[in-house]
Amino acid sequence: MCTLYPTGPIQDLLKQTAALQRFSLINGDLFATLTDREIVVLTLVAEGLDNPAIARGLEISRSTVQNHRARIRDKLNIIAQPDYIIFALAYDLIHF
Amino acid sequence: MAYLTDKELLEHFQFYLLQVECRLREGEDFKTIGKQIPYSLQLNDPKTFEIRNMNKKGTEHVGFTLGEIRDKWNEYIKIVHPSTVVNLSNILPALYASPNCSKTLPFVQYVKLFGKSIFSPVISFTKPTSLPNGMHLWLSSSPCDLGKKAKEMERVVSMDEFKLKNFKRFQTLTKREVEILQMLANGCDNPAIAEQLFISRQTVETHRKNLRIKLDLNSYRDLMKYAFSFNLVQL
Repeated sequence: MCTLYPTGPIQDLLKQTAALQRFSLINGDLFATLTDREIVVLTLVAEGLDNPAIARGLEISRSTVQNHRARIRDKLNIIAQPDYIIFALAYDLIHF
Repeated sequence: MAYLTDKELLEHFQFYLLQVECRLREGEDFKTIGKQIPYSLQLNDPKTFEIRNMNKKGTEHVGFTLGEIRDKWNEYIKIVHPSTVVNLSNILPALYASPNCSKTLPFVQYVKLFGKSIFSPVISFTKPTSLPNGMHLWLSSSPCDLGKKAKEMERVVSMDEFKLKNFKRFQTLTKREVEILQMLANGCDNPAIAEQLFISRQTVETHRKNLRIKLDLNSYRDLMKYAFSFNLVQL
């Protein structure tokens, strides 16, 4: 049994959910440019897999994974690692 | 993903309807209450079908404001499917005749929602009230809104669970470590963090290692989950 600690009101979490929804509305056009394959790669990146693991999982070469990632970065204007996860969360590719 | 069962759904709407009725009886303003209800809310005259009051969500739903509905009733009634009008004129008088105010009646209406060219189903719940003027409360929601709401709530609950489970662990972090976690979650890399906090890159590495161990992080995803749960991400 784990001990439960009070976490306080959930306003933060509600605001976050609303913010993710806004994010998905604003970036809908960008996201729509991704191919099915790129969406798969984005999901795996957001799940926390590294390039070699993705290459193994999809049975493609590492450089292909790198190419996919580069294209995803360009299409979605991704600057840093968290952006992948925020996109994946906003479009329901991963769940926390 | 879990959906609400019929019973839970009914209870969910009943909860809102009762809350609204109580607050109206206590003299609270319809507009204030309406803003806090995540569904379309109407106050209707059961005898004439006239809509006496409607919240903003309701206006967004049908694309008509209360004034527009009054002025252009003939246009408004066109967005309601004829079968729904017949259906309502059959069931509403029975409800109106019943003296039992705690009864909530669920039904489906077919309505052309704002911006749509086809009729879509809308789940509505209506309840007679004990308000002096005998108005009925109507609460309506399109099923796709309901699905979204359920999913939203599910996310909030699962994040809160995560927070509960990992509260103690999170508290073992030093102030500096939380600071670095926050910066990482908002897209700073090691050099940027070192520069902003006036520490060496080596020190940043050490902090990150400690974070990894203390929170048992295996990937950036795990880090982001903590950051989201403890509200450190700026969206």
